[in-house]
Amino acid sequence: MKARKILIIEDEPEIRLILEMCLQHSGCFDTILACDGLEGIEMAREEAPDLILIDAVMPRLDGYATCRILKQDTELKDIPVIFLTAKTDRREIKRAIRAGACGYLPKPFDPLQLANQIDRIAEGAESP
Amino acid sequence: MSSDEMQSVEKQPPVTIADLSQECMEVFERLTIIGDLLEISEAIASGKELSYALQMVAERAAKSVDAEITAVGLIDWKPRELHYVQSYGRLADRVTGSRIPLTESVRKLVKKSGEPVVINDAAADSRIPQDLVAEWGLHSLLVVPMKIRKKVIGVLAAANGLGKPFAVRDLRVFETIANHGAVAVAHAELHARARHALSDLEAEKMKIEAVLTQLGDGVVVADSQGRIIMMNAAAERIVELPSTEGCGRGILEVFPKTYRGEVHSVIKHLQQSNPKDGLFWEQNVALLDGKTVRVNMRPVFLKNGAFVGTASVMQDITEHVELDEAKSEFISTVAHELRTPLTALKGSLGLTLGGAAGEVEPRLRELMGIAQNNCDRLIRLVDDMLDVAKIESGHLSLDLQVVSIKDRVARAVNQMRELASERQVKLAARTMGRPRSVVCDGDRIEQVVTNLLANAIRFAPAGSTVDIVVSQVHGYVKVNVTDRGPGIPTGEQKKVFEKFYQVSGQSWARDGGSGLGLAISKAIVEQHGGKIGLRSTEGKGSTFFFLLPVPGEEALLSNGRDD
Repeated sequence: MKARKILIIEDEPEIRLILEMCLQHSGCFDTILACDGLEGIEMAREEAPDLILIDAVMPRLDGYATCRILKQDTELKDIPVIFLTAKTDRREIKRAIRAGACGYLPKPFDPLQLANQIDRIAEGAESP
Repeated sequence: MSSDEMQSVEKQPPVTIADLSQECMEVFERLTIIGDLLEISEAIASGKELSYALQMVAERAAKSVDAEITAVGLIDWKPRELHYVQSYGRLADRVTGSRIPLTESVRKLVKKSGEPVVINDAAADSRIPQDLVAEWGLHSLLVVPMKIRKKVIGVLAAANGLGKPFAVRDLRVFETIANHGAVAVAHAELHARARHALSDLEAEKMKIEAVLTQLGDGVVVADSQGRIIMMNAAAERIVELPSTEGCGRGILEVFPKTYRGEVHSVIKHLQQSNPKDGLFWEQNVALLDGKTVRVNMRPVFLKNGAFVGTASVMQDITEHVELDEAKSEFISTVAHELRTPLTALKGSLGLTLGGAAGEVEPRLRELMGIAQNNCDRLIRLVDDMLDVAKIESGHLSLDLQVVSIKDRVARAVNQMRELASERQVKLAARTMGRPRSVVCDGDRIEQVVTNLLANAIRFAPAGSTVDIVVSQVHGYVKVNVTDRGPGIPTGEQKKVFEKFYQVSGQSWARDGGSGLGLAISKAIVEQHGGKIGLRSTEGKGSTFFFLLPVPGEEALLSNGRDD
């Protein structure tokens, strides 16, 4: 199976590195990285990833706003967006879903399970 | 004219001038009497002092029987005296205000049959206090009781000196005047009572107004037409409308436009409700100036059940709401700030141990394993502490759905299988009867079951079984988790639901628990209206259980089914 291209939008460099390593280690994903929402949108346009993993809380443009912009873009709106969030209250989760996310992963995550979890959410999004 | 009548006229004796003038005199006299009585009646009705009416009674009574002295005496029961409150004629100065003890003989005289008494030789009558007879020079006496609703309240008395006896036939007018006197007294009493009641009411009204003014909460009262009839100072402040302008307006005007439709239908509902229903409306209302007000509107009914309007209490909860939001935001931020470094830590350890950075030699693996376990423990502790913070600040919100407890228990059991097999503990789940669906927060209930299972596995001896039973008990679904561990001493059983409580000699810390699981579980179950508890025998094991109420069919239908 061909590795899918996943765009990781995360402002914390250490978490970004760990996410990158987790997903590459799984062998299922090729990763591209952005350090905030604005860069993420630009990169999504350039790279046309299969999936986007986005942090909820970021400076400049946060995950929710970024997701809304992605979902309004006719070329990008079909790319599944998965939220990564340390705020796991229902309010935050509902906010993510309203912004157009197809699912969310809580922080901290199990680094060895992350790829699997992303797969499961993405599959769910593709076969509603 | 018929012949019969002709005959009867013929039989009448002839009418003389003397007869006619006699008759005229009598008519004239009767007119005078009627005039007197009318004057007394007017005095009574005019609302003037009682003494004025009674003075007139005494005066007209004297005239009617040609008496030297008349007096109105009222019975005073406290010192048991007859109190002459008004008198007329000779000795009036001395008689008015005098009191004679209500001895048995006097009482007999006054009360006996309620009939008038005529005594024409007072000195020979034992019923009359003889000292008065001598002092006032009394010879003839006429005493008529004054009655209100058949009860004797006093007398109208007339007296004459020697040589002026009273004739029994004179009494009709005298009695009528006495009755008028009684009416005057009754009228005055009624007046006094009404005045009292009125001043009591006014005092009460002032008290209520004072309380309402002092109240921090706004109070708005509207009549059955929805017009404001009263609003207190706090209400004026809250809705920024002086009561002088507010009163008479529709109650709807107090609310921002977006709420008016709802309030209108609420008032209709309250109007049609029954006092026994205890129906009321409570709602947080966001006012246009940014204030948030908690409104509690209740119908007001009279004793006979008639709806007379609504009373609304408005509590300014702006600060409360802001504080609430700040607290909620704080908890959320703390969660984020604590979880971000833990994410980096867990990620690094997991990747290293997973071989993402190359082979890990055994000694290093062992040490990193310790770091990983403790990192996980820290994560659980943060999760649990955040839950406790939510519970204690009242922010634990439940996402209520129709849930099959059996399914949720099965999920929790699956989740805990790995831990159980590490400890060589078997998990045996079964159902008894047919447990019904429950309206609850499925994730939170799963959390409770997970907590109970984690506890049971922690204390279960290797090779033993932890039993999980889901059953239907009356109106509840019950979940039992039974271990065969060391059990909990009776004295400590209640305390295990406290935060960070350690049963003596058993450490949750050693086993990676946060010490908060049972406290959180208790709060979750109780917020669902359920109960949590345990039975334990030292040396034999413990059963932790919780019960969740099963709603009626209606509640299930209105929530839809997902099981």
